[in-house]
Amino acid sequence: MKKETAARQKSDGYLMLEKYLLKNTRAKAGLLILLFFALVAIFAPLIAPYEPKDISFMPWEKPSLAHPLGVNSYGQDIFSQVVYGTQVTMAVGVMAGLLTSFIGIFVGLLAGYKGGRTGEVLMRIVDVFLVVPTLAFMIVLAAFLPSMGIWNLIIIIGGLNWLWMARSIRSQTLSEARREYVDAAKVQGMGTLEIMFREILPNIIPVVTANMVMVITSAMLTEATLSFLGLGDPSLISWGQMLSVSFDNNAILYNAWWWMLPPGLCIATLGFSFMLIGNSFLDIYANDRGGAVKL
Amino acid sequence: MENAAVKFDHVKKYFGKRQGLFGKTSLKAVDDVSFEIQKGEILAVVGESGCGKSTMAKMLCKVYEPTEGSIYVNGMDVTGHTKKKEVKRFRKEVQMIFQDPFGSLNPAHKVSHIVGRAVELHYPELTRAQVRERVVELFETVGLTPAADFMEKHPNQLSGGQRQRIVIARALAVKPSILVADEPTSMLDVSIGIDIMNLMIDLQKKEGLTYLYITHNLASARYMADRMVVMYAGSCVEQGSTDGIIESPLHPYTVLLLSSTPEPFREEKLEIHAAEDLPDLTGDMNQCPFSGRCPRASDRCRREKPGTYIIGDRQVKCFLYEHAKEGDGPLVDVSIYQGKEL
Repeated sequence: MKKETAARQKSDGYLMLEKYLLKNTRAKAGLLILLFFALVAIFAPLIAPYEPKDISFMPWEKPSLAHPLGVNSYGQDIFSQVVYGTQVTMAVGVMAGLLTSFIGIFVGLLAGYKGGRTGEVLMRIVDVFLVVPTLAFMIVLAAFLPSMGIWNLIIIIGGLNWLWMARSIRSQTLSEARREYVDAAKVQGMGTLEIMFREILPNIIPVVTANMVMVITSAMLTEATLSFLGLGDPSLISWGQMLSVSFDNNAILYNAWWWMLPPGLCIATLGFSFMLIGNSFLDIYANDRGGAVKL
Repeated sequence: MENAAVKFDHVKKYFGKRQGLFGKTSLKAVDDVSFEIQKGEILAVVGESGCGKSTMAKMLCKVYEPTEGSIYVNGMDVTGHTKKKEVKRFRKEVQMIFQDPFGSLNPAHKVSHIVGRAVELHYPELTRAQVRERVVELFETVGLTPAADFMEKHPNQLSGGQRQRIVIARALAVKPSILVADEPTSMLDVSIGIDIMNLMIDLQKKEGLTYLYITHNLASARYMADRMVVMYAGSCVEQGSTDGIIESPLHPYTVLLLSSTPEPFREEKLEIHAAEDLPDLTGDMNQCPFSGRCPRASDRCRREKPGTYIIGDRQVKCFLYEHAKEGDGPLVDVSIYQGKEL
C-alpha cells in the first residue's frame, strides 16, 4: 500500500515534467540548443583555440583549418571571439532577464491580487512607460551614463523590460485571485505576501516561465542592439559587439561574411531556442484552460 | 441577549456596479438583515441562488465588510476592524467551510501543508513535529484514516468527499468556536453529502461549535438546523425554528419554496410556473421584494417595505401578518400558487 502511494506521488511531479518537457518535442529541441550554448559558455577557455583579443594573426584571413571562422580586420580569431561572446551574451541575457522577471512578477502579482487603488496606480505607471519607446529610452540612458560596464547594461535592460511581463502576470493573477482557495487563505489569516507568493504564484508557474524565457530572449537581443549601436561596453566581447565592430570596419565591403554571419546566426539560434521553450510551455498551459491565456 | 455567538444587526452589503459610461448604481446583495445565533446552535440560511446567502457568509468571515450595520461575534463588534492582531484573534474564532471542495483547496500544495499551515498561522509556538501531530489528529477527526495515507497527497488525488473533509479539517485547525458552512454538500453526491452533514453534526456535539449553515436545500436545513432564516432577494423574509417553518410556513415565499421541494407522497399535483429571475436589486426598493411574484400582493406591498412582525418565536416580513398574534397560523397556503404564472 505504502509503496503504491509513493509511486503515485512520484508520478505527480513527474507528470508535470513529462507533460511540459519530456513529451514536448519543441521544448526539448529548445533546451538542447540552450544546453549547447551554455556548455560553450562554461567551457569557453577550453574550446577557444586562441585568446579572443590576441591580434597576432593576418587581418581579413578567410576561414581555414587554423582559423575555422577566419580572422577579422584587427587580426583576431573570430571563432575564439564567438565562443567567448557566448559568455557575455548569455550572462547579460540571463541576469537582465532575472532582474526583469523579479520586478515583473512582483508588480504583476501585487497589481492583480491587491487590485483597487494599488493595482490601478501600478498599471497606470506601466501604461506611461509603455508609451515611451523602450529602446530609445535605453539609448538615451546608455548615452548619458558615464561608463557602460556589464552591470549597467544589465540594469538598464532588466529595469526597462518588465512592463509586458507585469501586465501578463497581472491578468493571470486576476483570474487566479477569484478562485476560492484565495478566499480560504484570507479566512485562515494569511498575509498578503504569503497569498501572493505561496498561494497564487505556484499556480501560474507556466505563465511565469514562458514570460521569463521571453524576457531573457529580449534582453539578449537588446544587448546585441545596444552593442551594435555602439552603446555597449567596447571592452567586452559579445555577439552584438562583434557585429558592431564588423560593421564599423566595413566588413560588407570586404565581403567578410565569416565575420558577420557567425555572431548573427548565434543570436538568432539562441533566441530561437528560448522562443521554442517559452511558446511550447504557454501552448500547453493555454490548452489546459481552454485557450484563454493572454501573454 | 448576552450569549449570542453571532449577531447580525441591520447588516447591509451593496456592491458598486458601473452602469453606462459615468453612472454607478449599487447592487443590494444583502439588504437590512438581522438575526442571532445562540452558542452551540445551528442556524440554517435558505433561499434561492442570488439571494445573498453567500455574501452573508463571506461577511461573517470578513472576506467582505458590510456597507452598513454591524456584526457581533461573542458580543464584540467585528465590523471595520483592520488591526492585524484583532483580525487574527477573530480568525481564530470564525472559520469557513467552502462550497466548492475543488476550488477552495490550493492545487499547488499537499493536503498536509494546507491543514498544517492553518495550525502554524494561529499556533506559532508549536514545533514542526507538534504541528504534524495536530494535523494527524485533525485528519482522524474528520474521518480520513489512516492519516498517513492522505498526508502527502495533493488535492487532485482525492475525491470530492475526501476533499470536503480536508476543507473541514482546515477549518477546525485553528479551533474555532463558530463555523460558517457555505453549501458544503451542494457539490457532492447525495450519499457523500449526508456523510459530511453527519460529520458536521458530530463535531458540533463534540466541540460545542456554532454553525451558520447556508443551503438551498430545505431537507438538509431541516436535518441539520435548530433554527432557520429564509432569505429572498437580499432580505430575510422569515425566521424561526426549523420545524415550525417547515410545518407551517408563514411568508408566501416560504410557502413557494416549500412547495417546490419534491415530495413523493403529495396527493394533489401542483402546477407552478416559477419565474427564474430575482427582482432588479439595483434600484431603491420601496416595496416588498417579493411583491412582483406574490399572488397576495396588494398595492401597499408595491409602495412600502414591510416591517418585521413577531409572532411568538417567529419573525416574518409580510403585511399579511401585521396584526397577527401569537399562536396564529399561516394566512396563506400553497393553493394561492395553483396554476399561477409567476
